[in-house]
Amino acid sequence: MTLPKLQSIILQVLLVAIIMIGAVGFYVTSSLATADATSNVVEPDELAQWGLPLDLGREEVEVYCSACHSLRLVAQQGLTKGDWDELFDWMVEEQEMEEMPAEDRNLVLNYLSKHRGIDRKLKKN
Amino acid sequence: MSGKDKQGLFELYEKEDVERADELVFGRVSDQNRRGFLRGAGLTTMTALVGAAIPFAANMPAGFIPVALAGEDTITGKDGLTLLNDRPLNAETPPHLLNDEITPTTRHFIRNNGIPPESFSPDGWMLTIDGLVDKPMKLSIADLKKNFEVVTEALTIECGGNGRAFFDPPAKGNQWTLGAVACSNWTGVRLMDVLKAAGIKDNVIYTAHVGADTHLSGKPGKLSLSRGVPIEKALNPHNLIAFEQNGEAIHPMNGAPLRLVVPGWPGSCSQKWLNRIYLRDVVHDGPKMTGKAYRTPNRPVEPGEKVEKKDFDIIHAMPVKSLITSPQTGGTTSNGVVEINGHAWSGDDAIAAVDISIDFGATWMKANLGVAANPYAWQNFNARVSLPKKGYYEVWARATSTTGVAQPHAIAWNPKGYLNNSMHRIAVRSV
Repeated sequence: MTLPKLQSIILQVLLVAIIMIGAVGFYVTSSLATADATSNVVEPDELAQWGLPLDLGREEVEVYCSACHSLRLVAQQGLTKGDWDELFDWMVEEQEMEEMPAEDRNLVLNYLSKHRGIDRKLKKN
Repeated sequence: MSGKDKQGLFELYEKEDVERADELVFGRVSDQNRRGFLRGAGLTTMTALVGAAIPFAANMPAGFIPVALAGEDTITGKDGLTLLNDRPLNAETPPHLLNDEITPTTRHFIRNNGIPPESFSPDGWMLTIDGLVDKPMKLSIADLKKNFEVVTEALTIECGGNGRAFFDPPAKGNQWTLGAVACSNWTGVRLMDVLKAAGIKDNVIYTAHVGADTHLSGKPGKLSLSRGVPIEKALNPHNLIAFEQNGEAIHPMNGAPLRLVVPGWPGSCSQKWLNRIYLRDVVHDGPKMTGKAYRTPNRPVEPGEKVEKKDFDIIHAMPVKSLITSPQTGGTTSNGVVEINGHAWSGDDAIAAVDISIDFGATWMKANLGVAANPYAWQNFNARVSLPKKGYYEVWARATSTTGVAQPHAIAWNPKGYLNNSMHRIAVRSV
């Protein structure tokens, strides 16, 4: 391949890449970083960047909370342990959430009151 | 990339068929079953873009855009919005991008409660008017245009929770900062005219609004949000059943093809993807009308205080507020002069004055205040301030309504984080 032709392709690719950033087929596209023990793929811990660091209970938070809504919603909150508990009741009673097994509910509650308590810092936009 | 480019691509993929868009963007031609790459057309470009060969390229449907290319959070047809939440979608606009007198569609905030409908097409869209009316009606968008006067007005819509992020202790919900407010031009028919045509029965006290979005849980028939307003508010001539935003199709995430615009009250009264309005002889009790949703305590409360449900009242008009949209906070001036621009609005009232302070509220000067394009449009203000010496300053803006109510310094804390109308402050350095 000749050099000018290569340059032309690179330029074209760059141009298309810039255009493509706005051309997603979805209204919003974002990838959740997931821990996968069987894979060698190295992914950034995006959840930690949002304010949901890797800790006991995060996996349960991911599973139960993301069934209905984005984990971004979780990451924004800052509540007392009592208010988190009350929020789970509301989601079960009024928002069609399935009750979590007691052991999992405890893990989720402890994780969120530890990392998303009323002293939580909001991610700077 | 500029908003214009994004808009162009958005329009390209919306207006062109996917094969044509594929060809324009990638040089791609799919094979007969609308998959793969006919004779490899466009495959080189796409391969180069994702940075690797694509072993299963033959399976890619026409119009398919590799997710690897998505990268940054992007909302099609929007420019510069800050994403708070992607399911449901919620995004606000940084103040300096709200500087236009009329908010462009690309910069109107998005507040979704559920899952948007699958189609935003006006074709076949029907609006039902029923409940306590003499003559229930089913109207297409063409019927609305044909049977009622079509009007265009600039109308301010603000989310009830705008400013929640500044609550301490925090309040539940999306942590909106400053930009869940907008004033676009909306074209539609008056809600009042449509309700009157249906015949409002004497015992009606409240409206109930229904949209085509579905509940996050996916449970069929469950509504994510259905709010209403007292019939007196519903009969205000500035409420519209709107089918155009800024002279074009409403942005899908702003409620296309049909929505209510009930300006001056919490945005949730302005039901998106509107398909039904029914009239009731009780206060509407749809989702997010009851409990503590869109309600504030009926008395002042201490930050963090537990308040019982019975002590909450439904929010009506939004409070007096202003926003400095230029300069962007954190800027510098080399000659000590700062040109200030912004907007001010107040629920069902107009704005009487906007005052500016550069000395942390010790002294105030009057800003030049414009007249509203029409009632319920925000009013623009501007001022030129001179900073006396080099250093750090804050520009504060304080609006006062025609009823004599001004913005407070402090947040009137409430458990659900609504109605934060404390003064907007921006930082400016004189260098």
